[in-house]
Amino acid sequence: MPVADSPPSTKLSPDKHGWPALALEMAVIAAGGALGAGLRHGLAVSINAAQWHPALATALANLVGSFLLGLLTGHLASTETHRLLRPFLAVGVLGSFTTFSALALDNRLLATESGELMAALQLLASIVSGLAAFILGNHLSVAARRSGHQ
Amino acid sequence: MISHQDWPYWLAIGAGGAAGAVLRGIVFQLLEAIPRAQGPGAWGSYGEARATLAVNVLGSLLLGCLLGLPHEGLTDDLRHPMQLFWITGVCGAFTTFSTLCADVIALTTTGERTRGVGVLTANVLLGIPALLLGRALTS
Repeated sequence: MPVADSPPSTKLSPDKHGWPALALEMAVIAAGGALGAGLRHGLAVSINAAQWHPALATALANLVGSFLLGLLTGHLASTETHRLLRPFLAVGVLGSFTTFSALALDNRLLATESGELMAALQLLASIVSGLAAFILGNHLSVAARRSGHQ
Repeated sequence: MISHQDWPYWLAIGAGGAAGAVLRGIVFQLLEAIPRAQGPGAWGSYGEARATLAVNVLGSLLLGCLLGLPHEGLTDDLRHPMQLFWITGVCGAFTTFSTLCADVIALTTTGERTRGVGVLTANVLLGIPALLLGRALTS
């Protein structure tokens, strides 16, 4: 009796697809990572040119990136997509567009510049808005699919 | 502003970003292999959340180490080669915020609220001191 194919994995899994597939996933992660970092730098350059506070660049990248990952997660949970879509977009582009190290650095720079209270508020606002943006994105992609099916 | 003459800068960022993202992929691969060996779904979202915690703390430590090294005007200059490749590229791409949000939501919506709050707190309470520790180590 033939064994039914398991659904396509959305995770990196060398045990299922072998090392050539893992190497391909790493290659699309690299391409996505380059794109994500480039977009984040473009945003930093734009914020700098507009003479806004530099911490806004990281904050905005994290907010937008979390929203988009919410959208993507909702989409991937329900739809069969290409096996490389998650490594490229979720791990590569959005994983690299958003950042934690720059957030930590901005937090310490803000503490020196405006005090620990402002630094704590920046951290709290980043986390709460990031989580809310992810949830919003996730709900929107679910709602969009529901209305699409009707 | 951005012009076509800036291509070496974008190349440095792209190379750093690619390296950081691949290193993150490798850390996830290694840390997810442990729970996977114990049976499918043994750790749920927790295995992935621990990998995110690992990259964020390690990446913040690395950023701290880089900042401690003597470089004039590093954090103010968007065109500093060190800034572009290592800080924006490698550290920026190795660490992630969107995956952290995804982990926390995945844990809290699957009934593991304590672990969700735990990994979120751990990222902050270990990540920021790691940055300061790194800077103290190299300066």
